Parts: sequence; structure tokens; C-alpha cells
Amino acid sequence: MLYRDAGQFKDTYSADQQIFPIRQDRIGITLVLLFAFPVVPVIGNQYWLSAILIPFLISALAALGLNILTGYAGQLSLGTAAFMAVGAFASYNFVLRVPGMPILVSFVLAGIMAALVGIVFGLPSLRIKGFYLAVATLAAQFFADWAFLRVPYFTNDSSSGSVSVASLSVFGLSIESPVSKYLFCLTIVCVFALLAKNLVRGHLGREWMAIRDMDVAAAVIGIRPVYAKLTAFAVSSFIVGVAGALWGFVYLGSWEPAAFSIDRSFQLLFMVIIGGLGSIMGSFFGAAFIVLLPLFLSQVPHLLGIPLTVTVASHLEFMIFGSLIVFFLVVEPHGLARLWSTAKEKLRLWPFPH
Amino acid sequence: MQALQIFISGIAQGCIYGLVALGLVLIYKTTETVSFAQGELMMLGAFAGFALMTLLGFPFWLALFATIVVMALFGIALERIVIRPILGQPAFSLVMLTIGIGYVARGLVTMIPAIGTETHTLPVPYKDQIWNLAGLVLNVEQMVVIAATAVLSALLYLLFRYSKLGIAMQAASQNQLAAYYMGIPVKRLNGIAWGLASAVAAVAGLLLAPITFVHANMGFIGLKAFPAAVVGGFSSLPGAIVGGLIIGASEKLAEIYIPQFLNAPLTEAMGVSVNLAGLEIWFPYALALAFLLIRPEGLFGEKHIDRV
Repeated sequence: MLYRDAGQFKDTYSADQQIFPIRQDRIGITLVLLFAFPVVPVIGNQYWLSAILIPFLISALAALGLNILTGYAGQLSLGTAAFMAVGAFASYNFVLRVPGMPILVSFVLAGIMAALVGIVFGLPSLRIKGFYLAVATLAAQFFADWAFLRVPYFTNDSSSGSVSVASLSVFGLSIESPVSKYLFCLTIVCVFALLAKNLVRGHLGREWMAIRDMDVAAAVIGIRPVYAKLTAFAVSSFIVGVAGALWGFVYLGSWEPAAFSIDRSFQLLFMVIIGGLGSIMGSFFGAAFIVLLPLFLSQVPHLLGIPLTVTVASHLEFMIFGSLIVFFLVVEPHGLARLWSTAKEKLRLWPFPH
Repeated sequence: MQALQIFISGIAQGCIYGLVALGLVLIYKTTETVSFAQGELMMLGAFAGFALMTLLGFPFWLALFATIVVMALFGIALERIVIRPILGQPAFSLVMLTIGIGYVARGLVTMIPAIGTETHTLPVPYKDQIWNLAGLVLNVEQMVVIAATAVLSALLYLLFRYSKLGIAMQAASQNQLAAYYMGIPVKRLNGIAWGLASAVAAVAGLLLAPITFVHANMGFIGLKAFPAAVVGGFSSLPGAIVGGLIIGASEKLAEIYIPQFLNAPLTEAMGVSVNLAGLEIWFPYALALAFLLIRPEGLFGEKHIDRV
């Protein structure tokens, strides 16, 4: 009853084609944005902003990129952290070696570098699919691990293998405090989410979904598999590269190649699976789940008054994390996005049962 | 001579990869699931053997037998409780589920106080022994790995060729529906396949333990079993072993000889100091990738062409 769209007539083409055709959706997203932009920086404390919201936003962006590749185009990729590393190190090198390069331009260039690397490692997808492609992307992951560790050019001949960045400034505004970092990330994530949503609604997105569902039939009706698959890799790696650059510059500040190891790849995959494959909203849900869950688990023994040493608590949290993922996959394999859309469907009829 | 020595140690390492890949291919053939949990099952097998030998004081052969039985039962239970409910789901969810199982296993082991987070040595009777044979210095632990792999492969060959269970498993993997019609209990066979794969992984863990010691991160070695299975062919059990041997030998040889021969010429050619050390972390995958582009069905697999 709350969610019915009865009475909402569209009388222009642009009204019919908008992203949120139902008025309740538009009100909801406006409220979320009004809360996120002006209210959260005021009420949020430094811990929430810098340790929870910023990693959530950047992880959601990376999960968005991975969702485009795996959820929309159906190409399984286990090497996402490698593309994040390419983005982070490329951005670092552009800022280091080109005097006076603005941060945003370096992020875009880093994304383009990551897209190029993504196309190279996506070439196997033209001949192999499914699990074998996963092994090929594992090759990308380990190759990136090795390259950023062993080739001194990328880390500017750093003896410890780690790089660090100075303070950022965008359009003359300095991005130092948690509030400014949070707003910077939030703006970039919103822009990319809007671009991604429009991309998957349009011609290219439909080509990707056709390739995912039945690539032989897609080729029969005239969709070029080479173009679709390589653009999927390119767009996804661009977004993941920008997310990697954000991760390094805004969240970490200083990092070494081990920050983008295979654990990170698996974590992003978990976000995408739990959030829901093939759903922009799902990337955000999954990122929230994965970022917030360890915090929640570390607080629960404390709240229940059970005395646990720190080490046992952290191992227990690891185990509960894994078993929750297993439980979630058994109970709802389509992820949180499916739960969300089911809830919306039920809301249309509430309080009637059918 | 040094090349032969490196080759032999590569073969020994490759036997471990081959055993883990064997379990992988076994599970794939019967349930069409790619299990990323094989590495962690190997780690659990090593820890189980360690617990039986040090905590319960079992002698070596009894501990070996008991570990195999315990891990086989664990594999059967795992299939029944966790895998069977979601067998019909898309393959991607199953893969992520097995990765999740790996996380749970690792978390469980590290949670055990004072044992899970330390590195332990497995008290095997042949520890630290060396044979001097015709100028070669052979590590007995590595020889045991090669011998045990050969024996296990022979046993499994006999199982699949001559026993009723083995023939039933082959039938179920070739055509599940026809196997159902012939009265073969396919669901039970899936459980047995998982139990067998866990037992093989446990043997691999016990064989690997004297070389790399028993610790909670042993499972990452299992990731190299994927290129081994790809090279050998995902639908072929002997191919898994052969693929493992190829990956192990080539990885070791590449680790030593590629930097030795290519560092100097590349440094001269490119003007910057080039150090190709440590490339064994991605060399097996590059090899698997080359195989995928040239011969996707692997050395022994069946051809399956889907031209688009």
C-alpha cells in the first residue's frame, strides 16, 4: 500500500525513462542523499567517518566495478585486487613524476591504465569462460603481486617496498580532515554509481547481460562478443582502478603491494555475492555487510558480557564471518538485493497478503 | 647435476599439487563443483595428523590411517550438511561457498589456543634423513612424497578400474541421469567423492608437513593445484597428477634458472637493473594460461568446443 505506483502517470518520454520511475523511490533516494551529504558530517564522529564510512564507500565502488564484470557481463574474476593495485600505483606514479598534476586527473589516468591492464588480462575471456577464466584472472592477481614488489620503478625505488602520499588538495580545497575525505569519496562514489546505473540500463549493459545469459544466442542476434567482453573488462577495471587509487590515497595514505593481495580479491567477491550479482544496489549492500560485520562481531562478546581475550575474539570473528557467509549463501544465494526487492514487492501489497 | 636435483625437488612439490588437484578433479567430475576448499582440507589433515601424533601419542602408521579415516568422514559430512542444499544453484555461488568453507576452516584452526597460531613439526620417522645416491643428495622426505603419490595413484587406479564403487563413480560422473536409472545411489556417491577427495587432501597434507611444517596458512599452497588441474585437464584423474608434476617441476626450474639466465641480458638491454627473482608465484598460472589459450581441454581432458 505504501509502495503502490497507482496514479503516477508518465506523460513525457523522459519521465518514462528516468532511473527511479516510482515517486516513493525518488523520495527515498533524495532523503538518503540529504542525510548522507549534509547531516552525516555533522553528527558523525571521527571514528565512524574515517574507519567505517570511508572504507565502506571505497569498497562499494570497487564492488560496483566487480559487479559490472561478474554480475552483468558474467565474466568471473578473481584478480580484482590486482586492478586496484594498478590504479593505486599508477595514480601514485602520475602524481610523483608529472609536476603539478591534479589529483582528480591522476585518478582518471590511473583508471585508464587499469582499464588497459584489464583489457590485456581480459583477452583470455574471448576463448575461455567460467572457471577457467577465474584461473586466468588469478594469474593477473599473482603477476601484479610480483610486479609491484619486484619492479622498483613502480615504488620509486623504495627500499621497504611501501609508498606514501602527501596531503591531497582538490580545486584548492585541502582534503585532510575525515569530513572532507568522506565528502570527497561520497561525491566520487555517487557520480560513478549514477554513471554505472545508466550504463547498465543502456545498450552496452543489455549487450553484457545477453552475453552473460547465453553468449551463443547473443552472437547469433548480432552482438559482437569481443566488443562486449572487452568493454566489460575495460569499464569494470576503470572503476576498480579508481577505487584502488582512492583506497591508497584517501584511506590508507601509505601502502605496500601486500595491501592488494588475494585476500582483498576474495573479500570483494564476497561483497558482490552477498550483495547480489547483477545489481548496483547490491554492491552497496554487500560492502556494508562485509565492512560492518567484523565491527559488529567484535562488539558482541563485549555487549553480552562474555570475557574473551583479544586474540580469541579476533579468531572467533574470523570463523563466524566465514560461517555467516556460508549460511548466507545456503539461505539466499541471490544476495541481499533479492531480499530488498522481495521486501519492496511485499510493500506494494501490504497490509494485504496477496 | 644441479638441474637434476632441482628437477627432483620440483617433482616432489608437484606430487603435492597433483594430489590436491586429484581431489579437485574428483569433486568436479562427480558434482560439477569447483572446490576452493581443497587447500584448507589439506591443512586440516595435517593438523589432524599432528594432533593424533602429539596429543594422543599415536604411532606414525596408526596416525596416518586414523587421519585418513577422520578426514574422509569429515568430507562426507561437509558434503551432506553444506554442499548438498545448494547443489542446484549457479556454479558461482558454489565456488564462493567453498571459499567460505576454507575461511571457516582456517578460523577454526587458528581459534584453538596455543596450537592453531603456531608452526609445528610433524614427528615422522623419516625426518631430516638424506640419501646419497650416485652423486645426488636426495631428501628422504621428498622421496617419500613421490613414492606415496605413486602408491596412492596406483590404489586409486585399481579402485576406479576394478571395484564396483569406482565403476559406479565413473558412471555417475559421465551421465548422472543414466546412473540414477541404473539404480546407482548418486547422492551417496557424491558424498563418497567428497570423502575421498578430503582423504587424498589429508594424505597430501601429511606428506607436505615435514617439508613446510604444520601451520594454518598451508592452504594457500593448494591454490597452485588449480593450474595443475587446468594443465592436466579438468575431466581427467591421471591428468591431475601429470599436471601437478609439470607445474611443480617447471615452477622449480623457472625459479632457479630464469633469473640466472635472464637477469644479466635484460639488465643490459633495458638499462635498469632487472631482478626476476620470485617469479614462481605467478609462473604456474602463466603456464596454465598458455595452456588455456593453446589447448583448453588440458593434456588429457575431453574436448568441448563452444564456438561463438
